[in-house]
Amino acid sequence: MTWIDTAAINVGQRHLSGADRLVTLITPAHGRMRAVARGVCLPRGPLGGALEPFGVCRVVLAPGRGDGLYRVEAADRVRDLPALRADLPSMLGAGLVCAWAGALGREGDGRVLYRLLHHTLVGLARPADAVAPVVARFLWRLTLVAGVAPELGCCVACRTPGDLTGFRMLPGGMVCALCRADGDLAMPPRGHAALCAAALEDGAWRSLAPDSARRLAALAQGYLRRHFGADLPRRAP
Amino acid sequence: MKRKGVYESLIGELARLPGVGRKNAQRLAFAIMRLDPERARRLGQSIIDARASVRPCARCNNATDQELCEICANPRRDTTRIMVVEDPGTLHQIEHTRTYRGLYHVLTGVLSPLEVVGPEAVDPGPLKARLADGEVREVILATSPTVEGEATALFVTRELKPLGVAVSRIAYGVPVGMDLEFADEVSLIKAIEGRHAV
Ligand SMILES: [Zn+2]
Ligand SMILES: [Zn+2]
Repeated sequence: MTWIDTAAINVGQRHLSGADRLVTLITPAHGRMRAVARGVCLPRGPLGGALEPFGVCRVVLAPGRGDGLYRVEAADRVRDLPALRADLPSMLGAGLVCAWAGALGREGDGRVLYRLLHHTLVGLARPADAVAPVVARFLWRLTLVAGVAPELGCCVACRTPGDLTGFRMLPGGMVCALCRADGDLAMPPRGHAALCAAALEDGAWRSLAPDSARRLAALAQGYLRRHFGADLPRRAP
Repeated sequence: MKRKGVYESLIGELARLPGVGRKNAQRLAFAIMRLDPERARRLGQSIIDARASVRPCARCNNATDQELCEICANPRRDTTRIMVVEDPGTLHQIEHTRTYRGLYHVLTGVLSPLEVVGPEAVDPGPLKARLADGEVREVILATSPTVEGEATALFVTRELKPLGVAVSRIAYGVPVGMDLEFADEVSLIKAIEGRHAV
């Protein structure tokens, strides 16, 4: 392993002893990387506050002890999003987005994940965009990045395009009235339209109502859990 | 061989304390090994006594061995101000500066957005109850300028604002001794926002 000089977004941190932290970074070329940042909590330490979550930084990483573990040699802030830290819903939304990016950071193309995450955090920092639709859109785009995007255009069981009334978690997609079985969720036309708006590549997600967006975000999280058995780094309240 | 086991387990126990780390634990363990037996016994006994008798202050959650902590029980403290902190360690750090004469409130949890822990982590009830009689004029938020501390401050502010009490937050910005040229954007913004007349 050689040194790596890369852009990165810090999506998770665990306190180690003293002022050290174990950080989880999403990088464009390598996807998720874990690195030990020594003295990161010290105001005058070499890393200062450069590795705070939600912003884009540039880091130099050296191979650390342990498999796939790095050590942060240097860090600089490239882009801060102060608006994310000034509003509670934006901050909680950004936290959720980062947690999922960290949980699924090894799936799919790191470059695409990095761009999606960056784009989403910028969106959350923009006061014009409501938080819930941005989060719902992120999570459904994440299913695509991670290679498990649901089939939305036709029945995932029989491939016919008409009369789609349900949603199946595995293998993932809409099901028609004939194929619908126990365990499939009801998905009325309005829900289907909202799901398409969140998941497909156009600006339609912006028009999602906050309530509908929150339901879609919850569904996406259940979906990701089913597909990856992955869960978030949840700390008991 | 047995001796090494005892020494190693002492290092292990010390290293598990926050902010100690392996090297410091070795240093402390070595110092403890060289104490005369009576001092070592007193050290051990004070750890046992402290653990057995310390509890949260009934008013502010500060660590104490009484019903009320030293600060809450002190009649000379300014009872019109409450400073909100994340833990008793921060409280002691602020006390050490001798610049604040008001009361405190130690939170029992913090919001942690990256671990998807939201407002359910903090019960604002006890703090709100302390404001009910109208004696407190100002609540000062002294949470860390980390994601957890800032989310917690935003939440507490949202809870207290409707009560009509003045809520302020301690100033953040560039650490003393640091060249402004090297300050990051967020710290600079915080420093500018927290400016005061001279
Ligand atoms: Zn079908
Ligand atoms: Zn007290």
